[in-house]
Amino acid sequence: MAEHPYAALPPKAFWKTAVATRHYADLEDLSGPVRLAPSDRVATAGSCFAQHIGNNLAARGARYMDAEPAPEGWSHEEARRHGFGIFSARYGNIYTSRQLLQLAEEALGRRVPAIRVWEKGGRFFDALRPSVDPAGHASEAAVLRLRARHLAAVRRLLAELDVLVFTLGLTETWEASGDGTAYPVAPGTLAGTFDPARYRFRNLRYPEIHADMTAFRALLREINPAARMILTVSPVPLTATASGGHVLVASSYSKSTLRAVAGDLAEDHEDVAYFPSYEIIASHPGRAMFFNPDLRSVNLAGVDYVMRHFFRAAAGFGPAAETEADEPICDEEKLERYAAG
Amino acid sequence: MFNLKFRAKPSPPEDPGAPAAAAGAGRRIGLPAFLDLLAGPEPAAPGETFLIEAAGGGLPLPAQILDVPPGGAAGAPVVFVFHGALDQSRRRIPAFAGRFLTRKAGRFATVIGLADPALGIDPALKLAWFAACEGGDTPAAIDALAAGVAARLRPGRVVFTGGSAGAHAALRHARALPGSVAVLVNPRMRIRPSRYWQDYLRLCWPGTGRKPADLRALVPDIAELAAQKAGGGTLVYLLNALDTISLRLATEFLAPRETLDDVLLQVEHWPGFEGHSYPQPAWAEWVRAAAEAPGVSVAEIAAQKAGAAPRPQSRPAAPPAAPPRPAPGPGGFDAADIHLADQLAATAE
Repeated sequence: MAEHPYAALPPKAFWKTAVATRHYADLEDLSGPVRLAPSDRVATAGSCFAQHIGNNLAARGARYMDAEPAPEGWSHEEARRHGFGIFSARYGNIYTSRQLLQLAEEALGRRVPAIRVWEKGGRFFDALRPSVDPAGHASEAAVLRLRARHLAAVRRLLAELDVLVFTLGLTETWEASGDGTAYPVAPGTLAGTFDPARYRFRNLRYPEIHADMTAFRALLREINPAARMILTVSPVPLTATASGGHVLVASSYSKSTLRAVAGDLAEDHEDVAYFPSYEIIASHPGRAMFFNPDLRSVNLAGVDYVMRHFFRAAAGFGPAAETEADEPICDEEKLERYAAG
Repeated sequence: MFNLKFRAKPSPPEDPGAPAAAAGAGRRIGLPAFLDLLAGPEPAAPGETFLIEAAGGGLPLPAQILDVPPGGAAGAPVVFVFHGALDQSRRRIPAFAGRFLTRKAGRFATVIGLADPALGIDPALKLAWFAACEGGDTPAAIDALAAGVAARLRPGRVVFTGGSAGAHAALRHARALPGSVAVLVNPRMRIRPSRYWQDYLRLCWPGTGRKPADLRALVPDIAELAAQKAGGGTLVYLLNALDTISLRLATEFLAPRETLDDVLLQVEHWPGFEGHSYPQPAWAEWVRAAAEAPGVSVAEIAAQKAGAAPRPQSRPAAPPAAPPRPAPGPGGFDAADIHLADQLAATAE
């Protein structure tokens, strides 16, 4: 019998045996082993979908880090409304590679954004995480004091974590024209004022994202040489695009670019892994079964399915404790109110 | 066009859980005459097969009047029953499911069994979802029959029921008749990809040159069914807890739906019923509850099944009062949010 490179490949290598003839709920071997043990200190950051991963890590007994807990006496709802307990620190949604890199640089004292505070209705907001304070603060000074404390928490988190699970969400961002500081939302949406002379739109490209993530990895390993990263790409499409194109096409650009960067980083660095939550939720054999009727947000069945594969790839975790799932908190969804009709 | 013939084969011993086979080709009859007969004082003898002629001259729709309640069909509930997949090497067609309904739950309704005429096209065909084929528009014939029955008999309720792949047709036609109820048992509503689908395309549409996309539109797959508006009344979704494939498909059908307010989901286990099976008495009792409940809401059908006293259709309960909204503070922000922000800021001084 003729030998050829495909002759000895396992069933997962063939579409017919791995996908076409299987029920979608029975897909196997989607991810290689993920280096994550129950003893690892795990932190999460990223877009909305990263919140699901954090919730599930906590429910399964992982050493899930919370470097910035809510003040004593606050209820669970109050804490979440004010940005506590959503990710491993109170940074809100980190949608882009640029945000992640600049946050780490700022936490390590290597950059100070020129515009850090936005105003709205006489109240002051942290422009780098405007959603965490729904009513802002009484003074700019209060915002900056809380930001300093936040940055100290982030610095501690980066130094102490074993694994950072980062979910890449968007390529589109708004940045300050002066120093290139990337913001999670456009000025003027949650707070601040949009001034075209001070802010501009940027749709990050592959080389920029790759460079951002490479620089972030270098910073992380500088203060924490053993740190590892697990990268995922959010399967949640864009709420809106400022690119001038159709939002569906813009979503495809964004996700495919992020996916390519994540794959290359995982390929090139032993300490970086890629977990295919994007593919599990958004691939066409799933027939959109894991999306809510808005065809954007992911339903609970989808989250469960992703996490089942995740914990199959990361051995040693117990079953999830029964908990009531929290609705994810997403800054980007606030753009929905600007949709016509 | 196909020359449809129902072949006569020896019938195996009757399995009460399986579709009942009917002998002979049946009596051709127009829809008005069929409705006359159904509404008349002496409906056709149970077991007689009718081939209801299609308006456009396509495949006639095989039907059997499986039972009529003692008081006659007028005003009584009507139940349409759809069979699932059939192996024609073992079972003669046309075949009808549903005689057990009134045997197990009492004579509460006029029960009409329907057989898929497309199966007569080729003995290899096991399933065609009561869908259209090159020779005829079966869905239109069924909708016309159901609408005619509703108009002529003024039934208290119309219920569409089917098990396994028969649930697909039951759901489709319930959605076409406002106020009706679908009772689906271990539904298998996934159409593609499957060998059945390939056989259907090959045998039911052999020479038309119609594009596959057109044909897909004729038979909605599970995701498309899930996305459709409910249309009719409640959907009673019955599952055997040990039928794992149907359970999985249930998640696929239910998860993407905008609302589950119209779904009565029941998952049960009965010793001896493992896999793709369901006890006839339980099925029959649910159909009867759906037929006799005072209204078509989930609560009313569930209460009827539980034997609760019938109660009038109640207005939906008022939603729980929303927590009091904090009074707006400066700038229109919530005073509670401002209070918490001030607390937080104080911790950083």
